[in-house]
Amino acid sequence: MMFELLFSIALFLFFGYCLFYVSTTVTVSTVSDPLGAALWPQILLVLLLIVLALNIYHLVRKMPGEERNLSRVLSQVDWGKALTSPLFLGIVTLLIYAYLLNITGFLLTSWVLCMVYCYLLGERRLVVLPVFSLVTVVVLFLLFYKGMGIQMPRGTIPFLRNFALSVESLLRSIGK
Amino acid sequence: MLSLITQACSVVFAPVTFLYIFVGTIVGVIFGAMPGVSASMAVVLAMTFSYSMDPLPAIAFLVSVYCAAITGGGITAILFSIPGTPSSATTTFDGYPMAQRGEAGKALGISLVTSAIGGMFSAFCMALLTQPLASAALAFGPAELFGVSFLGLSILTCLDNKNVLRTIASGLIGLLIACVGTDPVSGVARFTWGQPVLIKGVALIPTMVGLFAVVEVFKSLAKINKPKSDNGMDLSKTGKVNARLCSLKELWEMKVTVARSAVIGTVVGILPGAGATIASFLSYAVDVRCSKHPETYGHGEPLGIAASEAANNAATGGAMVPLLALGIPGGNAAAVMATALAVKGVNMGPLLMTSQPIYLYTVFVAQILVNIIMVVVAIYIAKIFAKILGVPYSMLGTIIIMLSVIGAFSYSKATSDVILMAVAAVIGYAFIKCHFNSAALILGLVLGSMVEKNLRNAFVVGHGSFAEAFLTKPIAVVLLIVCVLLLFWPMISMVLPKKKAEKA
Repeated sequence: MMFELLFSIALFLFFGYCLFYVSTTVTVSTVSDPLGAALWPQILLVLLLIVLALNIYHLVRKMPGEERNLSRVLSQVDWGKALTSPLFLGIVTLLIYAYLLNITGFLLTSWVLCMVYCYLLGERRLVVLPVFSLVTVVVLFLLFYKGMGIQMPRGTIPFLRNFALSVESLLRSIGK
Repeated sequence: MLSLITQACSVVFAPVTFLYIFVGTIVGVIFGAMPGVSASMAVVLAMTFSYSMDPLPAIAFLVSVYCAAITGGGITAILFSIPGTPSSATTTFDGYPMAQRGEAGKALGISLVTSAIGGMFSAFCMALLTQPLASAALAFGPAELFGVSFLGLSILTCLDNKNVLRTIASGLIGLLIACVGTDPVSGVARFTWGQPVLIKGVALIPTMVGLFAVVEVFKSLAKINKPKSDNGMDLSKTGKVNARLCSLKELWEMKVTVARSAVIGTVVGILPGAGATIASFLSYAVDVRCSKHPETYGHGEPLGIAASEAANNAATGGAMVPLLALGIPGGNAAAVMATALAVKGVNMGPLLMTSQPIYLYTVFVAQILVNIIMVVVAIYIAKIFAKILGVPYSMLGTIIIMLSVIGAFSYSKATSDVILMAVAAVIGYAFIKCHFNSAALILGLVLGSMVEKNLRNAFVVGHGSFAEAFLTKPIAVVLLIVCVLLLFWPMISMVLPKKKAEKA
């Protein structure tokens, strides 16, 4: 329940800042647009802040007394276990992958992502991990690149980009 | 009319055209089932093949791809919780829970049959009512369109009866996210924080993929250290999927939902700028409202699938009405079709309807035929997709992640969409943990732009006066009253029994 409360407070603060941001950055209405670009988001933000405030009030009221002590709740969390849990590692891996995709290209990055996810989801056979990941990436690459003409990211690092280009030219030559 | 239908049949059943329609249906179902490939994208991809065809077979081919793609979107929505097309998002609400409890075959059967009924119903409406309905659609101004889109939002208060506040907050967050980027009326940049990538706004497909598909893998990752029985999907139930058509008895039990959804889908499809996605959300909303057991929706209610699929397929026929009668494309896919025919020197519009009505009837016969072929074709394609469910979840989860990544990327070929998908997944997981509602967020995101654009345009038309913008328009007034009643129905329904009890 403490996490729910903290999440609601974080949302309240963020959208409070959004209200300030939109009010100061978006121009006011004109004759040709009586409502203007700012009014609709402002209405939504005010409603949202009211709803979130009510939600925070309800959560605080429902929360048992001993759970209201934040430092006590935080001290009970096993941070070592939480930071090495499959969920946390999976989230971090996906975020890093999404960030690196444009830099390192689809083929290599996706192969690593597949291996990590396959491992986190319970696959422990050392041969299956790289082989399955490679097959998955290659099949999906073929399906979307050859079948639908969708060019996957090649990366910006020269040798990885050259690798992607050579794979694509190989596929094109097979197609001919 | 009969002679025109006979003439259209001779065009459609000519061996070459029939082959085009058959291939178009297969291609459409596969494209539709692929995450990230929307129905309009499928039509764009298929358009290349239509260049070498004559105009009539070309429009029959493109119509078959369009209709089949909308249906195909439901396959991955049910099996993997990945909406193949945005209009299938509502199918995931009940389709995926059914698949998880081992009823994927039944869910697929309902999806296919109700899709076909919706599609055929709208085809008949198109043939009979093209001209009068197109004129009626033109009478819908911004105020009425605001009413229609706001009606879709009325589902918010009943998506989760236990957490009404958090569900409303989720819907409002969705509406706010729809404000990110260039504003739809004056072109002002909002909530971009100086980032060029945010100018185009928050894309729907990557957000949906993150919220619905990747979150499922996160949920399985969270259960990894828990007891075996609670770990991921029950493969004993989901490994084998035999898509079967629903029986006449089952269909009869869904008659009201299917009929209502087909009507809603057709009408929404006719409205310019609405389309299959809004049709499915609106139909789902209305069905939840009309149900005696709204609490079962979102937990594997077959009627939820029927409402969504009948409506989104009915919208395909509706979208053809303004295109054929007035030359105005009702949506993106219709615009692509109009372009493909313009390349051949055929310009859609009233003149074409009076000089060559064969176009209308060819589309009509082709749509009927596609909806029949589609059921058979989709069953086999669904079986192929379903085989993937037989593999261990360590592999299936990885495949879902990869399909999600490619689905998000293919939307606009931008890696920023993959980042968006990943962020949406993290937010989606936090939403689940904190009892917020991802479906409400998506509803807000889908309808946000349409609601705002029409509200502002209504005020422009009404010279800034609410009374002039809305109160002088009877349809808009009726729609807004219905919206308010539906929005506050949970509160009204709580008060009414108390009053009755007091009287008793």
